[in-house]
Amino acid sequence: MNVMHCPHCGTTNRVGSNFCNRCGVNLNSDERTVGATSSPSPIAPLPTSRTRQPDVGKWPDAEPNEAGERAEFPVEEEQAANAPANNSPSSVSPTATTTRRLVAGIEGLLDPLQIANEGSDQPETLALPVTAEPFAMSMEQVRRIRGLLTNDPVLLDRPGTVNYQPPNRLHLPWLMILLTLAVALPILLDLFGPIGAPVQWPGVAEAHTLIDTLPADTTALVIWAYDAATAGEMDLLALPLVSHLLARGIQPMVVSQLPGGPAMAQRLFDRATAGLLADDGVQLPADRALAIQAGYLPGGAALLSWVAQDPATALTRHVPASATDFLRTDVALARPALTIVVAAQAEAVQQWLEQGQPLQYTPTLAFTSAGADPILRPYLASGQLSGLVSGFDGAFAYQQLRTIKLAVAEEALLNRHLALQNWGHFAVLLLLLLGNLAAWGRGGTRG
Amino acid sequence: MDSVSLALLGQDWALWIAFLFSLLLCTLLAGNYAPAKFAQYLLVGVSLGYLGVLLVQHVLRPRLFTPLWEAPLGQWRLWLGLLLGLLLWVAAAGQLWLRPRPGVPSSNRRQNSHTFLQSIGVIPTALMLGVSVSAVLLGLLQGSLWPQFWSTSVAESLVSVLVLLLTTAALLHWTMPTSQLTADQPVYQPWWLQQLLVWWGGLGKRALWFAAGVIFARLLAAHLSLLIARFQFLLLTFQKSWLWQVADRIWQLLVGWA
Amino acid sequence: MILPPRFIANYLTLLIAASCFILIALDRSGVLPAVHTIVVILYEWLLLLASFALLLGIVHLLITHLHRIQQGQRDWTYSLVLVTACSAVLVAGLIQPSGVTSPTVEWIFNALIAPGQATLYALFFFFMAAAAYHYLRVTQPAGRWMLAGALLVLVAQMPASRTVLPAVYDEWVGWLLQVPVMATVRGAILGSTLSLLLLGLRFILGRSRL
Repeated sequence: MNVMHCPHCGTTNRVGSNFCNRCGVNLNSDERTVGATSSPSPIAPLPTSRTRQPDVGKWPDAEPNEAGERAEFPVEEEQAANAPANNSPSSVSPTATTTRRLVAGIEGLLDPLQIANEGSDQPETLALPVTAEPFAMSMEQVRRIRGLLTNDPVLLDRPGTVNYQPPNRLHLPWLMILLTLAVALPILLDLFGPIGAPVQWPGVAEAHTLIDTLPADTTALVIWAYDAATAGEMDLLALPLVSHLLARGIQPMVVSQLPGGPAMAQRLFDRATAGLLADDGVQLPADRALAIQAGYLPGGAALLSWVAQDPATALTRHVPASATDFLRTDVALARPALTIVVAAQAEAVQQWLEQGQPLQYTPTLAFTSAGADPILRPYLASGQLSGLVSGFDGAFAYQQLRTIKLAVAEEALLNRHLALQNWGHFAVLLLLLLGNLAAWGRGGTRG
Repeated sequence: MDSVSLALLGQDWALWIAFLFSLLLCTLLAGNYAPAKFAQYLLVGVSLGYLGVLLVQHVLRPRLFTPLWEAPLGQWRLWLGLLLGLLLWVAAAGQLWLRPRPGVPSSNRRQNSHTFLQSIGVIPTALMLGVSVSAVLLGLLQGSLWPQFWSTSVAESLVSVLVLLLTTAALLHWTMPTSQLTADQPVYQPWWLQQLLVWWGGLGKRALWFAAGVIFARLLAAHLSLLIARFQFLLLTFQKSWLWQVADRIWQLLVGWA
Repeated sequence: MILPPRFIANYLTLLIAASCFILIALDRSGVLPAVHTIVVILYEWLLLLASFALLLGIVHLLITHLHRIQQGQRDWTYSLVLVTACSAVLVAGLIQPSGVTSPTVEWIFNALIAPGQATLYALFFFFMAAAAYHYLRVTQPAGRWMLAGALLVLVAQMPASRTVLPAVYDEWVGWLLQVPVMATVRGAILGSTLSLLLLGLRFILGRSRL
């Protein structure tokens, strides 16, 4: 293939191209005429196009060769027109227009500017840092340009220093030691004094009543939206819930959109089942699976619509026991009578309420982290949520409403947790007091 | 305590590895030094591997590979799905290896190949984005905006009036803060309307600050629960160690001697 | 006229996105039940594509870290740890048909993944407490209001406060949560929902302004 090189950036272009693919310069410019000198350019061979005249000039910053001459570049027509004595006779077009332009050579960004001086015949050139091969920049130049484009601009007309205050440090060793002692010492020294009782927030009783009044052998869809990161709190909530569901004979169908969700769900179900089996007063169904583990569902909130409309096709079995062992080939799943979202974040509940609930028309309960509680209150008030159980206090209050108690060890763990919450809250209140005293001590300025 | 920690307390090797690993991560409190970095990179590595196994064995195998293997004919939906997935991978490979680098000249052939691969990656990407964005938008309308708007506007009692007032105040401040309200007032607007808007927006601002405090308090309780669970695991594990047993024996001797 | 590839790509994206929007809207509204089959196909493809995209992310991360090891860049030893750990888990999980439910991978989950994630998340409490120490102060306007809300709820949720405070305090804080705080959060939800809707519509219609 015949190629030609752009006189500005050196990119190869097809013969016959009108404009350079890279820098856009007009390759067929008839205004381009021969420059002052006729030395061949060391940059790249410049084969002529069908109409273009090869022009030569000098790169101002190019390294001089052995003869002391600098590398050459194409010059504009006025230079050629104003220096007729230096023109090479073979390259001057007798019909070239000689328009005088104030600024020339600006087709490429890195080309040196030629400013036509009104009084002189020869245009001046600005010494710009251009390498002999303009299309290949050195690493230092790349770094400089990158720095210009990414750094904050300097305001030259306001050279004064900016009154910048860095944000407060969140890494306070004394605070970490105080909090560690507040939680660790009671565990080590068995300081579980008067516990008190947690508050019963609105929504807990409604959730308990709804599950308690469901008929046995119904299915409940459980969206498991927490993993090991938040299991320290969420397992406190999920254990009484799962224990309640299994004891009532309700079959949970568990699906998770978090990778660690199915594993945590399985472990919690094993723990709840072990606790119920140890209780002689509870009879678990033997003719079917206690729960259906539908596993992990990647793809985001949009797939919740599919789960709501058609769970039998949307879900598959988490444990691939055999190649054809899919949920959809099992006995057709009964439509769930209830949906429970067990979530560490409010967004997971909101996603179900937006994607799934409008299509399924079943009641929805939320068992969430304490932090998600205030954000979900509007949904409880509007009736989209039929019940809301949140935090360690919600877990305790929910368990208090149940007639079947958890295993003794589990109850002891819950009570210990309440006692440690007291110590932790006391430490936080002390911190708030210290922070305000520090602010007053410094005259109300930033601490 | 969470279920995993409870299960670990009955094991040997796994328990001590979990204990040491947790301690390494706790060194983050001192700073991001070598032990914490090592633990973080190790956690990311095993988590990525776990995710990979989950996707291949528990999502793609039962939903795609096994049905195609067992009954390849008549599964045009799955064949198309597989094709779309491969297109995504091919486009990504083009982006990784054929993308033009700054300062490095690239041939026309390379540029053309890159452009072509980018183009074929459009279809799977557009599908993913289109379905997700559409479902989210429609869900926002159906599941959040309309029910929340309707439950605010049905106002009969004094409490409902308070709810309406605070909801609109918070919405006003959320969409147009007070400073913007005062700065962009049109000239013809009467002063009392301007004052009313400023007061209303100010009420919303303070209500939002108050609500933020309430949310913060609940978040503190949530994270305190996580910390308690972790400390219980670490300290109960430590109490099983020989170091604790030696220290306990020494303490018993001192107490008995005293 | 042959259109440039970027032009075609943009319009193809918009066409596909708009088609998906129309189909899903028809399905969700129940106006045209026949489109449900097509929409289910779209959901199936989304699930498969999401899986492929996640796998691609894993592969890309591994390539990035392998590149770092090969170049001997800073912290390349940690990258070696990451790549080794990831490869070990992948091999252990892929050679056994039970995948993540195999004893090896379950052991790795119990010993490393679960404790690691739980510990990292638990450490947040220290930084949240430090933020409370710095910013919940009566000397600052925003801090004053935030401190008021935080104090009321902190005292209410502390179990030991039941032995000191009267029962009416719990009812009053419950009312606070159910009415004023709920109304404020609802206003925030409405505002953010409207913004998201506008952004999404801009994307679907392919406009930078609406």
